[in-house]
Amino acid sequence: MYNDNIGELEEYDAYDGQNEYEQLGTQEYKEYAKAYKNLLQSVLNLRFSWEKDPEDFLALVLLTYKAIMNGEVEPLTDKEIAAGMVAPDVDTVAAVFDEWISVDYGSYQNFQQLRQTAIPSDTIFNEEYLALAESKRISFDTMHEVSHADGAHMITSPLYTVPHPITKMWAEAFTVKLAERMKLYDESLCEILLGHTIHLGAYMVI
Amino acid sequence: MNLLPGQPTAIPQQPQSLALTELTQIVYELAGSSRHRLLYNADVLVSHIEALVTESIDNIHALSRELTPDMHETLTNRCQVVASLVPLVKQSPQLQRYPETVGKNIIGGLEYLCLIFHRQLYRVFSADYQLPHSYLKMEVTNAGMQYQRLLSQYPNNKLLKAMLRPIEKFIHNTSANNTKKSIDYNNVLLSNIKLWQRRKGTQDELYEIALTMNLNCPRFMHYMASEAGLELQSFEKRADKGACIERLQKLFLQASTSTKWKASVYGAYLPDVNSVSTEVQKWLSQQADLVKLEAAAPAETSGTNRVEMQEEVEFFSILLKVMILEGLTKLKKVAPIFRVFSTVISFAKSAVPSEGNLIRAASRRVDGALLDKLEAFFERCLLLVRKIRRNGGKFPDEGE
Repeated sequence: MYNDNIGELEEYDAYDGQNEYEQLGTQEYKEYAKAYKNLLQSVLNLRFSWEKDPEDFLALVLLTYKAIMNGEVEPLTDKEIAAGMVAPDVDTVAAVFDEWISVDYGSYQNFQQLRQTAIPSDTIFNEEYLALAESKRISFDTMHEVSHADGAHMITSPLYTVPHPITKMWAEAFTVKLAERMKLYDESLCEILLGHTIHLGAYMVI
Repeated sequence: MNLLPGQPTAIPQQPQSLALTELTQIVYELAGSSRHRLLYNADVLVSHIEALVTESIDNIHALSRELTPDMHETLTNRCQVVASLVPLVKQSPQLQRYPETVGKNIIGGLEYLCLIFHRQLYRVFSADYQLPHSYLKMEVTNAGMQYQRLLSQYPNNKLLKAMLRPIEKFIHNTSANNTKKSIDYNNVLLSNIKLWQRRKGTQDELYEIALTMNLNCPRFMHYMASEAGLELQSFEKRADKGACIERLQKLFLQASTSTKWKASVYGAYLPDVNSVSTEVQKWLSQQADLVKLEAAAPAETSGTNRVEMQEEVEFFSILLKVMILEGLTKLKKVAPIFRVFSTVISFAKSAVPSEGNLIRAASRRVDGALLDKLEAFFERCLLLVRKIRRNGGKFPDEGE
């Protein structure tokens, strides 16, 4: 995905005239990345609670799963398997959500039962968000992504100006957690989607 | 599609925290958009952040008056968010492009915010909560002042100095002692000492404080053991030593039942180490046993059943040491063997030599005269051995 954007990325560098990230290996930068990760982690630790119906949660989980599986889905390479990587599945996505927001399943015992018996509601979370996130990503030509050597993952994009800042942070931190558990075929789409939508179900305020 | 702040159904949580949310947004943007042009006008940024900080502080102040236990975790987490704002902004590449004063003002404001949050909500933190730099700075200054004052008021009180070791550690190695638990411990310790000072307390009362607070810091325990050890060693007679131990035992009992001092809320200084009272009891009973042993030794040897030595203590000790080192005994340590010998031999000048006498004699530098004597002795031995060989394995005087 990002590779298509490399040309634009270079333009972007030229426009600004300098690149602070040249010092990726410096002590200052490491401290900065550490502080950034701490902030993200502490936002995740706030454990917002899910305020909509369980059916809405199911819809969001499925939507997130779709975002992760966007694009060409290739089988895991041997190297990835050796590194403990697994293919995405809906239950694991839900489990990671469960870890970082408090979900009340109501009359359902757990996510598995919810998934088997309920029909995902599409009144709040629906495919439109996926399309929206993707179209914004494509049309926005200065989006860039920096993956740091130490694992801190930052996406800077004016796409994010609409929703809540905590939502953005939360989505960023959550995507990192998700990526620790499974291979995300389209990490940035997942992050953009969540950044835009998560607050609709879990109201996020510090 | 901005469904947020104004949305009526969406504010089941505290609406007063919106200022903090906005602050976080600014921090997020400062942190994340390093490749953009400067995001904000410098002066506007400073005054905006100042306003948000003030608002957040007011909010937390109002909130802290109506705390319920179920809010503790959320509020602790919120404090963590606040605490992580400062280091991030400090390192932010975007901020570094603003004039220095702007950066200073912003960081000053955020540090103040962090300090107030942690002061207001201190009681909701769990024992292991690690306090942020801005809070620790205040505590370190505080503790440092009291520490210096105590040291200058009691320059010769070694016991006090040993007891203040946790404070010293906190001041010099703050990042390793940054939990609420350790800060609380230090503060209780200092307040006890302040009380002691006001009452013009005795040295024994300092021990009471240490026992009440379970000050099981290795340096303090070591100090206590070596002081008591020295006192014990200063007595020659067994009865005096026994009395000394008894006195210490009494003091210990008295100190451990004292209720004059405040105990630490979270228990011992080091939770994984034996408590002070366990260690003291162990030490006292060990010493009592040793005194008993010392007593037993002289009783069985009155001097008559001992083998009298030709030479004096010095000669014997060195001779025995040489032989021990050359492998006469399996054990190559001198002291335990001397202990055995000291009970069965006697010298012209000392009929009942002590183990200590022998050891001391053996550890001195050996002078030339003694070495001559030893050499002569070994030569005689060698001659004798050769004679025995010539004599077909028989000792010469054992006859033909």
